[in-house]
Amino acid sequence: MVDSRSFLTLSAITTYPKEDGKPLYYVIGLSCQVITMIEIDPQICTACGACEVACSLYREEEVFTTMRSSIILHREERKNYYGVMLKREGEVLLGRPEGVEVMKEGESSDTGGGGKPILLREPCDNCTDAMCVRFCPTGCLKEV
Amino acid sequence: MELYTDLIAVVDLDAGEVEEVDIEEDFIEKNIGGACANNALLSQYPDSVILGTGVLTGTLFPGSALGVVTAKKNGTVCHSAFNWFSGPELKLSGFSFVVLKGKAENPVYLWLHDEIADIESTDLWGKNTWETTAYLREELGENRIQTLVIGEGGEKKSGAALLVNNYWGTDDRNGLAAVLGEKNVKAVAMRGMGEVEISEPEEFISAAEEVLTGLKSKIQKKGAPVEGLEAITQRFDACFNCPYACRNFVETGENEGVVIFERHLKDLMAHGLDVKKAAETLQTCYQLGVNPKYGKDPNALTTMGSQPAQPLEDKEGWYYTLGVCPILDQFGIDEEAAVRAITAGTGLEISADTLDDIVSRL
Ligand code: SF4
Ligand code: SF4
Ligand code: SF4
Repeated sequence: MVDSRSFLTLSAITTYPKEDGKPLYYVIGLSCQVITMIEIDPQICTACGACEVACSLYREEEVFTTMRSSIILHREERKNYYGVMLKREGEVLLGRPEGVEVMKEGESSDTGGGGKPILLREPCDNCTDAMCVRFCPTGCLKEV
Repeated sequence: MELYTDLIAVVDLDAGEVEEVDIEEDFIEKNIGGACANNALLSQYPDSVILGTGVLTGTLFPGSALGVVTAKKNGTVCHSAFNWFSGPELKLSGFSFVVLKGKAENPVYLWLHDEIADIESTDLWGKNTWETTAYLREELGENRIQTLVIGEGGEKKSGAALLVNNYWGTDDRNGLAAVLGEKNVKAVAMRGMGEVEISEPEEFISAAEEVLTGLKSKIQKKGAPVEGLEAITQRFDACFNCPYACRNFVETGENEGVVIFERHLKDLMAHGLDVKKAAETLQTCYQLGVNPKYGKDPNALTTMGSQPAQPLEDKEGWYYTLGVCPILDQFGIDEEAAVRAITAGTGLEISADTLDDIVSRL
């Protein structure tokens, strides 16, 4: 369920000192960069859809709509089967009653979002102090 | 006008025509929205049915799921509420208000989407609400379409008629489904892909978040407080942007069940049914579009005589004007923050006193 990622980044290679244009030794700079990501706990989601409006507002800043979010509520109403889908770069995170699954783009026929399917949405920006998290009333979305 | 989509659809059912009227700032300043604005439209278009959204409906303000239907019943102006996702969907369809005037010669449904209002003739008359919603979603090609639909109760103009949202009963305490039946309107289907502007987004967000934080600290439960209900609950559901998931889903068969509205379930239990039987009966009530307040036999409820009007109680008028669910009142909504959200959202100078004055006219 946890979906945070740490990246070890090669930030620089520096050579010291130089004699006749040849380095005597190399210093390799490494840094660790932690990228915030959104974690979903679908068991406590109540399908309120606040995350769609919150993320759309983050993207568009001055309007309320459900059409611009990277996160989409999916519901099969008569059997009360619901969850959320989060578009990421190259993949879609599905938070469903069965658990959380990562699908590569194109792997799922379930596109959600009605008039604007998940694959046409902007990928998640992995915001810090994310609007979707701030307005999710259940704590089902978390930044990790 | 900020916090609203731009149009009022004035639907002339006699002529089969729709006039699109712009919402003026002055109209909102004088009437705010929801039940108060519906009243004003009803004075302008007497004998109509008005569907309206509150000033906060469909926004990030917590619990902003409410829409209001208003009509005269036996000469008295009555309001009933609908929520789930239909209030926001109506507003985002481009029509913050809809006036249904006259009477269609033959059954019709109204299809609201992308600032377009289509009147469609239909042979759905006689179908139950579930069949109607399933058909409309299939026909119009979208699962997210919200419907307000009447069943046999509304078609037969029963005093116990109940307006249904998709598959689930609304708080149509005044049987206004029967008034839609009189007008030969089987359903209103809505899809909201529009957007509403916000005058001062930062201020709005801060007021809404303050209210949400306050509510979250007080809401310690999910579901309707009905003995034995939790044991048969499959999952808890919330209406649009609501922090209190008071809607229990109870399975009644393979791959289907019923979303409970507390008062309706309690009514059936007061008629002597146990909780499981009450949930099953409620499903039939919703399919037929009848209100269990008046009895436990759904079929008998389709042909009841007229029932007395149920006026709004306590602070309900305030919630019905804002477009926020009055069930949240038990947790105490910060009214000062709500007024701040309205002023930040609309850009209008509206004080708590002005709002109270307007609401007191209901
Ligand atoms: S983290 Fe940001 S971009 Fe991603 S879903 Fe939340 S609000 Fe939208
Ligand atoms: S805001 Fe939270 S509880 Fe509501 S639908 Fe989104 S993830 Fe689920
Ligand atoms: S309190 Fe219950 S009925 Fe009211 S909006 Fe929330 S979930 Fe819906």
